[in-house]
Amino acid sequence: MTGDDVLAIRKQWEQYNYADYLPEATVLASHDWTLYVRAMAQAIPRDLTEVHYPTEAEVRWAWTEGVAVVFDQPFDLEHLIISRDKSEVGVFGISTKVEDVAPTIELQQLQGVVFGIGQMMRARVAGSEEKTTESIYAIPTLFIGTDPEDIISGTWIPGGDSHVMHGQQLSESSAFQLSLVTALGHRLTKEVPVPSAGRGERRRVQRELPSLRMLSLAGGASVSEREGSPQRHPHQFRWIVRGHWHTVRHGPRKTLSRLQWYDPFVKGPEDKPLDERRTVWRT
Amino acid sequence: MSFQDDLSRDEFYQAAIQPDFPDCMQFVLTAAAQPSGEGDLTFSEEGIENLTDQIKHFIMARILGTWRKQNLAPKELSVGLVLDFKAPDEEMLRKGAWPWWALVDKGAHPLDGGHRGTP
Repeated sequence: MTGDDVLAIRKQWEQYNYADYLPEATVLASHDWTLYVRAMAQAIPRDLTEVHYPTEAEVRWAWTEGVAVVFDQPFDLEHLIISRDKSEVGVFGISTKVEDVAPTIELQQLQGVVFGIGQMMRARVAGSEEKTTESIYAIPTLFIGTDPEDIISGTWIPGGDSHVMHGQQLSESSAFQLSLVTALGHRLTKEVPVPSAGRGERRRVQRELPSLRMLSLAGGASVSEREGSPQRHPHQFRWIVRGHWHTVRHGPRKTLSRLQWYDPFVKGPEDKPLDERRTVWRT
Repeated sequence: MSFQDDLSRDEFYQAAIQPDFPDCMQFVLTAAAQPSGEGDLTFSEEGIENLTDQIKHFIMARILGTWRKQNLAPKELSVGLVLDFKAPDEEMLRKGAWPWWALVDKGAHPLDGGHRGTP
């Protein structure tokens, strides 16, 4: 996908009723980077009863005005759908009534994810139609399908907990969202210019979407400073520890827990060569 | 009641052919829920044809109904036409199917899951 393709997708999105919410900032998620984020999501345990979302500071969130992530290659993502519009309104209709539905897992062919601006959002108690006066600080998220009419909305509640409904697992889309917000700010994510066919395209992109960058994986991994524990058999290689999620205990008497992503790092004796066997992503 | 939503074409004809059927009828056409090439909402050609077809059926049925009631062939017909356009408020139009509020349980805990617009 080149800069012109991203412009075309954005122009298509701008014809829909969520146009006003599209942030200017746009990034193209390269295929490799997306695979990495999906691998992060796969590593999250799914049998949770609640999931703790990181704060904006914890993930070094740099998108206070929101960001639109366009995926170079669309892929299928499972969502847990818990509410719908009450009646057929069409994409230009006015949806003011929603209804809860029995949680169902539905597939979406995902083209992009939009993060909005963090704001006090009104909450609706399950089973009611109206918004209540209670409000929650949240960043609205919108999953946009390859068919731009197919939109699924959700929220990222920085520093808050989402409760997984009884009998359900953490949805794949929530695990992916959690990984996405973590990956957008972590140090293995590198912003590079978007591929373009020529100077004309570069100028067009510069004029119409100057902020557009592509996300790719930074080469190499960071080196661990920590001393390894004494080994019975000294290692002959250094090796890359893949990125992983840890459950971190925190809070008063460590009664709370949250998932924390650890970037990949290099482990092993510094004077030994790096074992560079390639990691194969399962997709 | 409306033609084609509540009544089939035959039922509509059966009702409209009665001599006491009202002479005044409102036909409503709503724009198709797809963006046109320019991104503006517009009426489809098919929708307009359908609307004029409904008006034709209504006129034909009234002619027959009147004929039956008066037992004489009507020799003059006048039709008054009032067009009334409505556009939804742009802000409301824009802020449609994206419920930007969190769903919480009775204890006001946010729930994991998403909202999907009507397929």
